[in-house]
Amino acid sequence: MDEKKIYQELRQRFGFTEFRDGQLATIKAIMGGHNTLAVLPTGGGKSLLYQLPGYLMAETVLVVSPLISLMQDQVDRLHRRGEKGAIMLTGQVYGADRQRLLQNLANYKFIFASPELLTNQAVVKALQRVQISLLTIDEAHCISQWGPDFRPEYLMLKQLRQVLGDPVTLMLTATATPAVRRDIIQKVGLVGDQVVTVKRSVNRPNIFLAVDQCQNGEEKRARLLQMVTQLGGAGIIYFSSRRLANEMANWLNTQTKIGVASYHAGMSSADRFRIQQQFMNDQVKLICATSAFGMGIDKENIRFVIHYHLPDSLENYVQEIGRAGRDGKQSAAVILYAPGDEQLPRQLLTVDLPPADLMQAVQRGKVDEKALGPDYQLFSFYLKHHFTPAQVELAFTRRKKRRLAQLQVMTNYVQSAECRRNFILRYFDESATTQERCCDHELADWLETGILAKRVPPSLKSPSFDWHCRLASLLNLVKN
Amino acid sequence: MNDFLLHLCSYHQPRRVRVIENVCQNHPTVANLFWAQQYSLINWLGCRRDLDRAEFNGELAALKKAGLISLHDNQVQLTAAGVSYQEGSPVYEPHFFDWFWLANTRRIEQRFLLGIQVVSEFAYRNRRYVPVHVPYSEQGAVKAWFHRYASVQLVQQVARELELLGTAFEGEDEQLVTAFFAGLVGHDGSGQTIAQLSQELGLNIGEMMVINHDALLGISAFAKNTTGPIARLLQPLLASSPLSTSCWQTINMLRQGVGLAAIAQRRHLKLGTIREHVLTAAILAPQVYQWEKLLPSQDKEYLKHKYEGPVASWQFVRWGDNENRDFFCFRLYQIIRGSEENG
Ligand SMILES: [Zn+2]
Repeated sequence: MDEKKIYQELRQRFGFTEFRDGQLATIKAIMGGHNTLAVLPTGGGKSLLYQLPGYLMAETVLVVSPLISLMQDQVDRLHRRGEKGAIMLTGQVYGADRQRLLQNLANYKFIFASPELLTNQAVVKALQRVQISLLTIDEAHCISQWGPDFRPEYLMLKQLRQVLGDPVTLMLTATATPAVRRDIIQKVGLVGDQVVTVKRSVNRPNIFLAVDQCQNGEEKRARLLQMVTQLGGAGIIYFSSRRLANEMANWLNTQTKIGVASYHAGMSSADRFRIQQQFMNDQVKLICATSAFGMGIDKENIRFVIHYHLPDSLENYVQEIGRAGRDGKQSAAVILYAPGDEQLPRQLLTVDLPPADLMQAVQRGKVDEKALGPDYQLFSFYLKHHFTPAQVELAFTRRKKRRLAQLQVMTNYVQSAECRRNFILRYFDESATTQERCCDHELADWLETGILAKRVPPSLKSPSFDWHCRLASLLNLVKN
Repeated sequence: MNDFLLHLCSYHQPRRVRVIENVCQNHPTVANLFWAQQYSLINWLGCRRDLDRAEFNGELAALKKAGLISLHDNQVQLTAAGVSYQEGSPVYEPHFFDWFWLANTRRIEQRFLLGIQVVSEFAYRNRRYVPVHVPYSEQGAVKAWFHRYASVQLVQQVARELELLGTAFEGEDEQLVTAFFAGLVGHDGSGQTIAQLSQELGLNIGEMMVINHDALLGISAFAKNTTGPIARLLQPLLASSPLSTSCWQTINMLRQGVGLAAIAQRRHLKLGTIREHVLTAAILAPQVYQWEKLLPSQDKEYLKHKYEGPVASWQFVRWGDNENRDFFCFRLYQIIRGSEENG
């Protein structure tokens, strides 16, 4: 494929003149008909990697994505550019609606689908009728049992790929250790030397890394307040629960004049939409989120990401802080840590294994799968795929062990006296580096010295609400 | 803390936790409807359709921790502290809850928000925007509506209708009209969330949820009673009565003098289903039939002697050789006496 044509598409369709590092190599590999594994840091503009080839190819792009929020974000992004040929195929569409949608599938250029739906026969049949020219596996590390986000449904993708006639496949991930990379290729059903791997460092030099050691929860709160009042610009604060995200957003709103909002799966979809748009437009400056948020948030100028609780793995941590500084400007990532914080994720990792006879009863269809407890979908998947209860137990014991090991890495990161950047690079098997404005081990008083611009105190509150005015602005009416 | 669930609790009456959850989510089984009626919560049916079990339990736990409710044997009751909490904080009085049966307010909300957004963007001649996230079916309905009626007049018509609706809401409550207009999604902004509005108006988030549900029922009632673009958008989502069509068919045959077993046979339905229709109708539309006529006099005499006092305390014990039939008679008698109790 002609490089000129690729650049032309970039300019005309996306309004850019230059690619980010790794983008051109990936797109050229795809256009050359190669299955491609792209390991590019978050903020590398991954949607371009399948959208641009999608426009250059005649047929449809199928994107498999593990979370609805992620898909929604990609679809929104396309809508914002005026592209209407994007659709989501998820468990939320069912019955007659799903049938209608499946019949009209050929009208769409970009189909986003959740992996569990791709085990559905009617869906697969409909996809077979549509010519899929590019299969994109988003967050491809979810296919690996070695990664922290293993999703058993992803294992079905190998079969799906065959059924769809082996379309060119793009596997996308931001963070993958060498073991995970090998595992991805194998689980998708490919052989290493048939796959072009485009890999760039996980390092994001413009993100300053820090851990703030606090004595206890109270000090953490005080420290958080101090940070958000000093650090300028937009930020995300991650919490371990919806309740805390809500409470802290309320509290910060009473303590500061900065626009703070919580955001999590417990809110109505309309409210989540509102917060996303307000955050994009800088009406809301700070988001208190649970980790499900922002798996793909499309905001360039996020200046800092604060973790109020310990993330459960370094992979996820690197992903989450990758939301900061997509515009390349100086940003910061901070973990607030108090002794004992590692106990909370440890508890969250304790998935109770249902008793063997209950699993058998579910397997025989005698008991509803929901009886398997809050994690029923996970168990259910294995049972549906003819694992015996003993095999399920083994799988889960292994999984728990791996997740505890991953949590231990995270704890080590927090407590390490080593340069934090090099700690991360070493974990992902990359060589060490040195840079200015690196981490709190080099620059202990980073908050005071002003790594980030100071927050400008917000202007006075907006005038009181008048519904007649809102109606006029809503419908662009000339006021009389 | 979200104090929404306090609205559904009573100081004088312990209430079944699961019934309250089912009222919020709208699971209209006969048992739920019966207890909802006993608790005077019928018009709260479907007030929180999004509420999941974890969220519900979390809210209850927080209220208990704050000492506002007590929980015993899967029953919840307002404490004295809960009563004084309610007296000390502003409580919004719903105006449109009698229309609880008119529509699934979640769908109304999704369709309405998207519909207004589309008109707003149209008014600004903008085609590149992110539509509010709603299910595929609602997208399709709004798209079809817009393509059919898009014209220069549409913006003016919608403006006039929103003006009418705003004036009507303002007449009921200042907070209602504010919440309604501040939440709309449009070209000029994506609207305020429930949490943001609650902060702005100085209300608990639970109170805001009540206001939001009230506004949605108000919009539904507006759509029912008008013929303009809003009505055309929402009318397909409106129910014509609290009873389902199938339930009505049963009642109509009953009125023509057909017995329950015969109705079941003619309609190819189980007798149990027909009995559910009868019990549902006896609760939700007591005036449409003389329900006592369905109780054989022998059974009625028996029930009269056996059961006295508040109907909520009655325990069912079978007396004949057909438990299902006995239970039907028991429940129907209970409903009839219960509605007399409630006046
Ligand atoms: Zn360093």
